[in-house]
Amino acid sequence: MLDQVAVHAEPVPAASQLTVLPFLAAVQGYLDAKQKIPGLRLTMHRVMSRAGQGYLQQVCAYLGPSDPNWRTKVGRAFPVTQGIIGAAFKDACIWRTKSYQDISLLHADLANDAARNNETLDLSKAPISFLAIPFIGASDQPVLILYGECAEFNLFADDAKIIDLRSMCVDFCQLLDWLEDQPFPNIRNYPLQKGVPVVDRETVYQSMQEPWRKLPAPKLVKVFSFNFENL
Amino acid sequence: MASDSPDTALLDRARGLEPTFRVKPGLYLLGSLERGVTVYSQQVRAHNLVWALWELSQSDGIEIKNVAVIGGGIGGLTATACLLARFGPAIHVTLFEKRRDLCPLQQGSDSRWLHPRIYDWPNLGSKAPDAKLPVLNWVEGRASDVARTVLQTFGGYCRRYSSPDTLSFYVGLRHFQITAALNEISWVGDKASIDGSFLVLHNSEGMIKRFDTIILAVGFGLEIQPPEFPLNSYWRNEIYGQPILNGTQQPYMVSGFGDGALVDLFRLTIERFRQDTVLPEIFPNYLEQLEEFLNDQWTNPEDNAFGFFTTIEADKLANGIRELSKRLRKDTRVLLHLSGRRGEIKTFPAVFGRASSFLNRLLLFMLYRCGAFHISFGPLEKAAKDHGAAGLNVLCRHGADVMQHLREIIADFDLIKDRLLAMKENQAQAPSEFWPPGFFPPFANGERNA
Repeated sequence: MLDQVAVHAEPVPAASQLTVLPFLAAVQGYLDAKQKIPGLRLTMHRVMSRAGQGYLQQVCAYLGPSDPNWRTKVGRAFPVTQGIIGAAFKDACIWRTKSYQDISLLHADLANDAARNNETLDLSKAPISFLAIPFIGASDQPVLILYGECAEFNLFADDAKIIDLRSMCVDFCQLLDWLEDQPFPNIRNYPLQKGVPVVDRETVYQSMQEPWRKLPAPKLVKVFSFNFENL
Repeated sequence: MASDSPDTALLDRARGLEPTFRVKPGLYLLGSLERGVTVYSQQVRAHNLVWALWELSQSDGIEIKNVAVIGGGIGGLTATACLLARFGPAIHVTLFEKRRDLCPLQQGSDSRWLHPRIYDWPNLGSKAPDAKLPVLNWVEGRASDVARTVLQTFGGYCRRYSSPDTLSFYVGLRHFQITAALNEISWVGDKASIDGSFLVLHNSEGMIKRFDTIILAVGFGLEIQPPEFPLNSYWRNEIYGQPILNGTQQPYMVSGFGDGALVDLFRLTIERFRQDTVLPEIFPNYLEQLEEFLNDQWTNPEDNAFGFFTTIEADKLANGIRELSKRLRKDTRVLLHLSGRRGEIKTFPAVFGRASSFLNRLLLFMLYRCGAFHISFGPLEKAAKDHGAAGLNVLCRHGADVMQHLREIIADFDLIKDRLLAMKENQAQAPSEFWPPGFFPPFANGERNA
C-alpha cells in the first residue's frame, strides 16, 4: 500500500522555527490575557516546494498544551487544500469559524462537515474555534499561514479579536521585511523555488468556517518565501 | 502511462525510478557513474532508491529482506539508515566497508568544505546551508564536521531502528568479491557492531552469502593517480590553501578540470579562498541581481559556458573580475594542465562544458581574465617539468575510476559491463527528491537530527 499521507516530517531549519515561535508566543499571550483559553493551539505553516511541487508545511511545534510528540509535528507537509489553512491559501484571505448563537448549532455543522471529509470526531473533545491568517508575499501569493484552534466557543467570531490579531500579523510582516535586509550576518532567508501546488480534496469545514474579508490579509513587501537558515 | 490517481501516480514514479538504479535484478548502483556527484546528491539518490524499493516491495512483490550495502561512506550510511527506518524489523542489512571505520574519507577532513547544493548555483535557494534531508541531515561546513554530524545521527538511527537481528557490519575487508549472476558476496573482514556512533570490532570472518538486494555505494575513494605524480586523496588534509611561510613563491601544477581540480586551483590562486564566502565577497551588493540575471539567461545547462561568459563579461562580471584580481595569491605560480585523460582537450574554452559546476566554471573564467594561471595542454610530465613543479606541488585531480573499482570487486564484471556503460551514458539518476514528503520516519524522539 502506498503512503499518501504525510505521516512523518521533512526537516525545517531551526532558524525558521525560531523566527516564528516568539511571534506565536505573543499571539498566545494576547489571547490568554483575560483568561486562559481552553485547548488553544497555535502554529505557523509555510508554502514550501520540493522537486517542483508545492505544499503547506508546518514550520514549528504547536504552542499550547504540551505534546510529548511535538517533534513529529514540525515539518509535516500537506496538500494546499488541507482544511482551513488550505482555504486561506486558496483565497488569500483570513478564514475563521462563524459566529453561532448556540453551541448545538455549531456541533451540528461540525459533525456534518467532518462527515463530509470522512473524519471521525468526538464532539466533546474536538476544537470548536478555528482561525487561519495568511501572510501574502511580495508576489501576491501566500507565504505563511498562522493557524489557531481552541475549545472556546465563538473565540474567533469576535471581529475585534480578528482585527487585533491581524494587526499583530501586519507588524510581524514588517519585522520579516526588515529581516530580509539581513541585519544578522549568519542568519538569512534563503529563497525557496516555487512549486506547482499539490491539491487534494478541499477539507475546509464549509458549513462552520467562513472567509473574513473586512480587511485584507497581512502583506509582506520584500519576502517571497519563508526559509530562514543559519550558517 | 501515469494515472490521475495519486496512488497510481506515485507507484508509476517509483516504477520509473527503480530501473535507473538497477544494474540487474537485485543489484543496484547508487550514483557512482553519474556526472557531478556530491555528498548531497548521493544522499538524495539513497532516499529515492529506498523509497522506490519500498513501493515496489509493497505493490509488485519485489523481495527486500536481506540487503547488502557496499560502502560505508555517507551515501551507503544514508541508504542503510533509510532501509532500517522504513523497513524496520522485516529486513536485515549488512553494511560492508573496506576501511576500518565508517565515513572514512570525510572524517577529520578539515580543509575541505561541503555544501549541499552550491554546485546547483545560480538556482534559487542553492546557497541555503541546510540539506533538509529527512534521514542523516546536515548543514554546510568542513567535511570533518559534516562527517561527525552524519555519524552521530547514523548512530542514533541504528539505536532506534536496528538490532543485531537487523544490522551487521563488516569492515577492514581483506577480500571482497561480488558474483553478480548470483547476487552473492564472498568476503573476509572484521565483524563489527556500533556503540553510539563508534564501531566496535569483533572477530574476523570469511563468508559467502547470497542477498536478495545489493546496493553499491562505492567508487569515490579510488582516484585516478598517474604513477609519476602520486598524491593523497582529495579528502586528506594538506596546506595548499595556506600562505607559504618561507617567503618564497612556489610553482604548482593542477591537472584536471573537474570540480576537484578547480577547487584546488582556486585555493592556490585566490587569497583566503573559501567556497562558502567567495561569491558574496567578489560580488558585494549585487550577487542576487547577478543570480536573477543568470537564472534568466543561462537556460541550457548542457551548453559550453565560455561563449556565454564572454558575452556577459563587460556588463555583469567586470566588477567581480576587478575584485578577484585584488586577491590573487602572490606566493604561488600555478599551471593549469588541461590535456584531458586521452589528450582530447586542445583549447581552453573546451573545458567549459559540463565537466564541472557552473559556479566553478564562472570562477575559472574570471581567474583566466585576471591572468591568474598558466595553461598547458601538453603531456603531463613535460608540463610539470617545464613549469618547475615537482612532487607534492603537482596535483592530479582526474576524478575517480569507478569502472575500474567495480571491475575489481565484481567477479563476473563482463556480465554487467554493457549495462554499466549504458548507465554512464544515460545519466538517469536525477538527484531530485522523488519520495513523497513524510515518507521517512523522523529521527528518534528527543534526539537531535542536525
